Amino acid sequence: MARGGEGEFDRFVRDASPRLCRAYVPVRGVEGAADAAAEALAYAFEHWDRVRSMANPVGYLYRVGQSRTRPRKVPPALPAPSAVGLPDVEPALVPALLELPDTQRTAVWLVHACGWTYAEVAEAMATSTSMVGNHVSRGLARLRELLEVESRA
Amino acid sequence: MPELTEDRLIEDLRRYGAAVDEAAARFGTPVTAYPGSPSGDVPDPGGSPAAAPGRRRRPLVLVAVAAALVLVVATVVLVRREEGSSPVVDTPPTLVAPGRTKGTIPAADDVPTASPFGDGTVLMWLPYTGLPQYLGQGADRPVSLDVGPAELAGCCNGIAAINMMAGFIADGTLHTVDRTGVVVDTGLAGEQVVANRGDADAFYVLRSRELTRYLLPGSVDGTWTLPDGWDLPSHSSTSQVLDGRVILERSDRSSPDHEIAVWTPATGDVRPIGRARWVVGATTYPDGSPKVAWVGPDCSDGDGCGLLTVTDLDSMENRVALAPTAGFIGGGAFSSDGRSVALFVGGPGQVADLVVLDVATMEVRVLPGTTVTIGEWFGSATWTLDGRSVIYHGGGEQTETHVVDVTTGVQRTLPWDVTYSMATIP
Repeated sequence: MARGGEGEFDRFVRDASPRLCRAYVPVRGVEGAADAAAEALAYAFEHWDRVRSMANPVGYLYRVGQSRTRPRKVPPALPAPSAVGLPDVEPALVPALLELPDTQRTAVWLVHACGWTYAEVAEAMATSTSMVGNHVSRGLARLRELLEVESRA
Repeated sequence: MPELTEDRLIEDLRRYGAAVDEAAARFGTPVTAYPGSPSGDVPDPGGSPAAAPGRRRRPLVLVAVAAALVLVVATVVLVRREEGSSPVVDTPPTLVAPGRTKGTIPAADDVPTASPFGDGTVLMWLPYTGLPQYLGQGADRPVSLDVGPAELAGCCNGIAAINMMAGFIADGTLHTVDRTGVVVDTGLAGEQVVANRGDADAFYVLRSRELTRYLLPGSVDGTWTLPDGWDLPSHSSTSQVLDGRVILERSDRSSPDHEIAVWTPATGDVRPIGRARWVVGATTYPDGSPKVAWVGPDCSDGDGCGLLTVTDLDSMENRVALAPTAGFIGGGAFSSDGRSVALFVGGPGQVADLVVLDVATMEVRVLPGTTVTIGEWFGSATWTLDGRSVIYHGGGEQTETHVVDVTTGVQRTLPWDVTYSMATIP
């Protein structure tokens, strides 16, 4: 079996790197996300023949990077809204996000903060779209509870 | 600061996410090509900003080390090829392989030495990270199952159990494990694995909306495409296949509740069941009639759901139980004889108690002293083989697992973090 065509790995990295990085933000923080993505891509490099044949390499690598860099039970570092130029964003939002379990935080983040579709999130988290829906609904419910959100009714 | 409404919460998330995402993207811009990369040493003509000196030193070091290793391996392989030996690179992932036995049981003094279950129960679970764990049949403590690199094992796709066997997904493969701990690679992985607990020889794997039936030891018996708009239930036990029928749910992005239905792949028939927050489980025991237990809708975010329904899928008759105190929250399972359902009731503060539903009378009984903190608004519960006890875990940061005799209320604690996915092997 021959190696991939010229530039194939680079093209893959260009596509996968930002997607992985963004997926890791809610569980690793901004800089930790870059480390996790780098670990995942280093694995992809080492196992490129295998990775390139996968139907869902980003989802596979997402889990690889998460495992290789997992500081379990250490909350990620997320900047305060004011630190990213958003003083009018609810200041308790970040602490509330950090209260969520990793899966819920990741799903809520990717769907509502990054605008990904359920299918895209499912691919990154290597799960089903309905599982993503449950994580999102449970995560939002917890945020509403923590932030004492006024009901629409 | 304006009052925080639902709309503003979503808008704040979007704006904050965009700002942080931008920062993350700066860290995460693509690395450029480097000498020895599999792509063929092609430099990035665009000159990505991430390639600037001082940025991303760690990945470049990692990649350089990996590149050196690859070059060494490639050199060795080329030399061997020229010498006429068999090429050893570029082997595709193994799909079906001979059975692999579980590891040896390590000696340790800090765990119980007696078998944790006296009734022959075999428990296995998928930790959030690490290899699947097996407990029982001569193992007085958990044993890691050899299914490949630990970092590629998956925690959250569930364990499906049939008679004498369980199936789970790890490292790109559907694995089966029998009661003695022998693991066999059975088929291709997917997003979920489900089974009919009464079956003797079949698992179903969902992969990109295709549901494939694997007959043991690994042949494909059929593949069906899920009906448009429908998925397998997202969080329930993995007993979602009953007598040739499959429980489905239709995700509703605007609501945490879902339509659920029963699908007959052979005919394509989809029969609505109701609107649920989640599916607890399904069974064909004790009398052969297929039943599904589900919770919701109209749940309170803080207090759980007031209704637990058991639907007979032959007659489509619904029987309903009310939550005894606080509402029902996630998790739960039918007992192996189908006569009981264990699940949690909870309220604000993510504290929950275990309850048992008598399916015949639809009476719900709280089990005293079973209060646990719930990690992700659901806990895990499964039954011992004799149907006398429930093994349960609240999830989250807890490191212990509890076993309660549902008749006597006697409890004991196991010093292991049986979390995320657990199942008993019948």
